Amino acid sequence: MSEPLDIEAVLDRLAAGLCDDPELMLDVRAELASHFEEALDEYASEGLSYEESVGRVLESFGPIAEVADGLVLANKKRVGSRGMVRLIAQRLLVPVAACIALVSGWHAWSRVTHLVSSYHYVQSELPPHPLSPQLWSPSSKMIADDPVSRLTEEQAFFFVGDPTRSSLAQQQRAIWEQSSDNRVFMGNYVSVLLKEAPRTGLGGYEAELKLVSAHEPENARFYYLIAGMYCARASETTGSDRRALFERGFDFYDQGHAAGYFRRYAMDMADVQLEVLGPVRRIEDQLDRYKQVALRPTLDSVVLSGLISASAEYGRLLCEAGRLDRAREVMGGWQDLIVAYSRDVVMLDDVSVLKVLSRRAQADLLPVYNDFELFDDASLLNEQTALIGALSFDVFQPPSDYIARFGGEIESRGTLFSMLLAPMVSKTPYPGILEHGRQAEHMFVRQLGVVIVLGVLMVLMVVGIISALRWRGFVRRSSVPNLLLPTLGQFGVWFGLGVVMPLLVAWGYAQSRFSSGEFSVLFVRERLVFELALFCSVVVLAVVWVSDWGIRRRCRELRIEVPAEGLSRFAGVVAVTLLALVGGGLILSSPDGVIASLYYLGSWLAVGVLGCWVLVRLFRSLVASSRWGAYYSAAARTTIPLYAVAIMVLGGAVVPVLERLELSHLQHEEPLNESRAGGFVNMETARLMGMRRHLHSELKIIFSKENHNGSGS
Amino acid sequence: MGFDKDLVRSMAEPIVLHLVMERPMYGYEIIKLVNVRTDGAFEWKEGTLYPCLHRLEDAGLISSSWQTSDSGRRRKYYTISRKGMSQLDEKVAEWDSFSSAVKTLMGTRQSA
Repeated sequence: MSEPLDIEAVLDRLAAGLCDDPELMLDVRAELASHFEEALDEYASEGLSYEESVGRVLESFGPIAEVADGLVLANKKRVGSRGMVRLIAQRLLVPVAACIALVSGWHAWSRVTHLVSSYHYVQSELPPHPLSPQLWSPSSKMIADDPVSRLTEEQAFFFVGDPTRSSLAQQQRAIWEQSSDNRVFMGNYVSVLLKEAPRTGLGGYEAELKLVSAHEPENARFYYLIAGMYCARASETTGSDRRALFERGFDFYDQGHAAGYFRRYAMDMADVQLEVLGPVRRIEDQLDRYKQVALRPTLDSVVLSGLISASAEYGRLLCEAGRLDRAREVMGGWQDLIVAYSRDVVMLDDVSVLKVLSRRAQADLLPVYNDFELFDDASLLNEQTALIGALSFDVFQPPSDYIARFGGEIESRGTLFSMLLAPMVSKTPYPGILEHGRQAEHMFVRQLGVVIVLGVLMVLMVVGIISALRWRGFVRRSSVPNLLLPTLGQFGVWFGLGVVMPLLVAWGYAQSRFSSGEFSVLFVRERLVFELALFCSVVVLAVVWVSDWGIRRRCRELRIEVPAEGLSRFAGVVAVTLLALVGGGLILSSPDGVIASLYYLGSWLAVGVLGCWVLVRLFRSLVASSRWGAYYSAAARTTIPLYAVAIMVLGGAVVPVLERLELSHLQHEEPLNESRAGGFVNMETARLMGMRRHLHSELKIIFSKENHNGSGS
Repeated sequence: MGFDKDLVRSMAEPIVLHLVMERPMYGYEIIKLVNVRTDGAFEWKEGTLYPCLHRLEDAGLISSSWQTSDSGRRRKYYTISRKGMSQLDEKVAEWDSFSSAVKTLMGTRQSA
C-alpha cells in the first residue's frame, strides 16, 4: 500500500518549488498527475503489475530533482508577476478602498447634518405655505394630493384656465375671455400662444395676435412677433412661397419698427458698457450704472433685468428701513422708465418679465411695495423672477391685505400656472414655488424613479448570478483566477449596463412633456452626493457577497488557504454596508433625487468604463501573448468583481471634491459665512442672501451719511 | 542510433512547437508521438518535456487549457500561438540553413 504514497510524494516533490504560488503549484501538480495516470494505465494494459508500472513510470520520467528545478526555472517569471499582482490586490487596494469608504461616510454624515439644518432654517425663517405646509425633510414625504384641489372654484379657474379646452393656449384664452379688458390675462395668453406657435397655423397665429394687438395698438411687440414667425417659417421653407413669407414678415417688421428685435448683439454691447463703467461700491452706484446704460439707445432686456433687480432691491431696503416715501419715489420712477422702455425692448426670452412689470405699473400696484412681508420673501427669488415671485406670493396667500385692497386686480394667477411647470421655477430657491414645481414633477418621477431603480438592481443581480454560474464553469476547467484584472474586466461590463440605462432614461425624461428642463438635475443637487454613492453601493454590495462566496468555495475545493485581507477587508465591507443602508432609506424618502442620481451615475460609470477599457487594453497589449496574459484574459470574462466596490467608492469621492471646488469658487465671488451657508436651502439662496446682507450694510452707510448731512444742515 | 543530448535539447522546443501546431496535444501524447515518429532515437525522459512546455507557454509561444476527455480524464492541452508559429518558421529556416551549411562543409571535406 506504499506505492500510491510514492507517486503522491513524487508529485509533491515535483511541485514543491512552486509553493510561492499555490494556484500554479496545484495546476502543475494536476498536470503531472494526469501524466502519471496515463502512463500507469498504459503499463497496466500491457499486463504489468501496479508495482512494476510505478517503477517503469518513474524510470521513464527521469530524475525528479532535475525536473523539479526545471519547472521552477520555467515558471520563475510568471510566479513573480502573479505574486506582485496578488500583493497589490490583497495588501494595497482593499485598505485604500476602506479608507475612501470611511471618508465618503464622513462626508455623507456632513451632508445629513446640512440637510437637517436647511430644513430647520426653512421652517423657522420662512412663512408656512398654505398649499404645501410640509416642506421636504428627511423624515417627511411629499404631499400626495393635487394642490389645485385645495383652491376654490374661482381660484382653480385662474390657476388652470378651462381644462376642457384642447390646448394650453386655449385654456389661458378662457381666462382672458372672462376678463377681456385685463391685460395680464391677455399677456399670459400671448406668452402661452408663443410657446405653442410651432403647432399653430400661421394664419391662426396672425389672427390671434392681431386680435390681441387691437387692445394695445401702440405696442409694436405684436408686429415683431408676427414678423418673426413669418421669417422663421420662411427660413425653414424651400418652396415657392418662401419669398412671399419673407415679404409678409417684413411688412409686419416695418409696421412695428422692430429693428431692435433683430439686433441681439446689443445685449453684448450693453455688457461691455457695464464693464467699462467700473466696479460697484454702493447700491446707488449700481443704479447709476444701469441708468447710464438704460438711457442709451442700445437698451436691451439684460440691462433692463439688472435695472429691475437693482431698483427692486433698493426699494425693498428702503421699505425695510421705514423710508416708504423714498421707496415709492424710487420705485415709481423706475417703473415709469421700465414701462417706457418695455415698448422698445423686444427680447422674446424676457417678454414675460416685461409683461409683468408693465402690467404691474398699469395696474398701479405700487402700494405693494409697502408690504414689507411680501417684499421680504420676493427678494429671495433670483433676478429674473423677483417680481413675478412677489405676485405669486400674493396668490398663494389670498387673505393678505393686498388682496383685500386690490381684489379685482389679482391678475397674476394665470402667470402662476405657467410658472409652476416652467423651467423658470427651477431657478428660484423660493420654497413655496419649488414645492409646487416639485409636486408636478413628482407625479411622474416618483413612479418612474422607483421602477427604474428596481429595474437596474434586478438587471445587475441577474448579471451577477450569471457571472457566478459562469465562474463555476470556469472553476471546473481551470484554476483559481487572481482578483484584480478579472475584476476590472467584469467591472467594465457592468458599467456598460450602468451607463446606457441611466443615460437613456435621463435623455428620455428630458424629452418628455413632464420634464421641466434642468429642474430634476439642479434642484436636488444637495442630496446627490450620498444618494449616488449609496445607490452604487446598494447595487454592488450584493455582488460582492456573491463573489466572496464563490471565491471561498473555489479555494476550499483546491485546498488553498482562503485569501484574507483581515481588518481592512472587514472595514471596507462594513463601510459599504452602512452606506448602502443609509442610501436606500434616502432614496425612498426623496424620490425626486432618483433621476438626477441616475444622471450622475451615468457620468461616473462612463469614466469607469473608459478607465477599465484602457487598463485591460494596456494589459493585454503588454502580456497578451504570454501564458498568464491568456490566463487573465480568460478570467476577466468569467470572474466576479470583488474590487468593484473599491473603484465605485473612489468614484464617490469625485463629487465631494468638485462640490468643494464649486463652493470655493462661489465664496471667491461672493464672500459667505461658511457656517451660515451650511444652513441654506441651496447655494443660489446663499448667494442672494449674501448679496442682501452686503446691500443692506451699504444702505446703512448711505442712510447714516444722509442723516448726518441732514442733521448737520 | 542515439543522438547527442545537447543537440536533442537544443531542438526540443522547435520539435514541440511543430507537434502542437498539428493539433492541440497534452504532454503524455507529445512524448508518445515523439517516440513513435523517431522510433525512440531521441531517448527523451518524459519529465524533461514539462519544463520545456512551461517555458514555451511563459514566452507566449503556446497556450494551454484544461479539457475533459471522453473517458472523463482531465488533460491539459497545448496549442501553438501566432507568435509560436512565426518562431517555428524562424527555427525551421535556421535549421535548414544550418544543416545545409553543415552538409556543404562535410561534402567539401569528403570530396577533398
